[in-house]
Amino acid sequence: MLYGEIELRDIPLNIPKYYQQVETFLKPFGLTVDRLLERYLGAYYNDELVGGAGYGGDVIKCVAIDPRMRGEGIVNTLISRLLSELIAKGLANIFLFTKPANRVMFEDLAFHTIICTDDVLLMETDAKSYPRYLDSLSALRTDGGSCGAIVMNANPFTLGHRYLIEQASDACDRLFVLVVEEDRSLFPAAIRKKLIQAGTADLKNVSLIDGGSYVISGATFPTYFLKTADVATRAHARLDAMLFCTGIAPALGVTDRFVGEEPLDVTTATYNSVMAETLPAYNIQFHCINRLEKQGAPVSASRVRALIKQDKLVDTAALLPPTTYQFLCSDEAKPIIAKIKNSDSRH
Amino acid sequence: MCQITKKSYAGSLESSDVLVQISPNPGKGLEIDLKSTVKRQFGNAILATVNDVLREFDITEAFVSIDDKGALDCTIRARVSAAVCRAAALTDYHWKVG
Repeated sequence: MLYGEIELRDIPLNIPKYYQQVETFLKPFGLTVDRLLERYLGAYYNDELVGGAGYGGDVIKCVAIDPRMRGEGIVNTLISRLLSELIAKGLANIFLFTKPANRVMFEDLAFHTIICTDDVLLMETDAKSYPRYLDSLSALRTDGGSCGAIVMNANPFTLGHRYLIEQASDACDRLFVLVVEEDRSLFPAAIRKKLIQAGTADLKNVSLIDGGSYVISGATFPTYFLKTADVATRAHARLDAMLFCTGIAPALGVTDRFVGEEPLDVTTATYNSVMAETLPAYNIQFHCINRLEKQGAPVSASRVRALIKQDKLVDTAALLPPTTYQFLCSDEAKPIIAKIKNSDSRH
Repeated sequence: MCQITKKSYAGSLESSDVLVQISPNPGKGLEIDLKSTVKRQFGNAILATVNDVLREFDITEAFVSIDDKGALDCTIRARVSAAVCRAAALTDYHWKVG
């Protein structure tokens, strides 16, 4: 398509030459190409890349325009094209991850601000989506007493998770467990949630909530699923923490936030430290719970997945609540176990 | 009465076009959020057109978000109509001339 002398081209990121071209183009803007970027659209002027935007899942990102080419409506064209592609896929709400300096520009381009930190800005096309999510949380709140919150991926639910929930449940009148909904883990979200539910059914003050798009999702915390430790991880963790402190926690009436101590995984450790820094300013007590140990090592979901990969399913019984172990032995778990055996994913 | 059952989009953000989003708005009636590059001059005219189309389809409950980049009246009509048909899953609308 021609737009004046600007030409839009799909950039195939799977070809190293093009990948590098995009990487070089984005570098001066402080942006990096990540594995979650599945599509990139470039704007060329005289065969030179002068603008671009892409998406991964339902999140538009890596939007950049050569300063010499601003005011030509290139961003409108790029965003329009990407939006129509995402809409055609049937997505009801589309997110945009960008820098705070671009806020006014994108508010003019059908996006609404969800949250803006010093480093990053998260927006969405559906003006009502985030307010409605918060309304749905407010409906669950009960005033009076202490109210705890845990955010959990549980891939899958282990005795370690159970221990964390027990500790928090003892310390609070009520406990909300927000389940990460993004389907990037080896165990699908519905199964992860089902196993948490089954493994905590006896704890009467615990309620499960879907994390939706606003708790550790591809939109709020893309690097969580990449398992890299860099400046971006910190910025994303801060965004997620701010959403929790300014939106989710007040809606639910959360007074205490619990996390599991993280000695191994750098991303989660970064997330925990950012939480510890952010929460006190919003009068939310931060609690870091020690890891449950079995056979001389911390119980973790990654340890369980490693055992499955090594064909030692029987050995996982010592690390899992009976409900999770029974599931792993069922027919329903067979495709997941096959996937774990064939995967090198950290998730 | 025509029911908005799902979220829909129509149009684009190109100059002289308009992006229309319609979604269900349970129990809250009609709500229209208008952003336009020419809101100061034509904001009321745009709202009148949008309301007119919604009335034709007998829509009484919806959240309508309009991001206008200077679209003509006929473009606004077409985009809102398309968005309504998608959001209400209407397939028998006659897009004919005259």
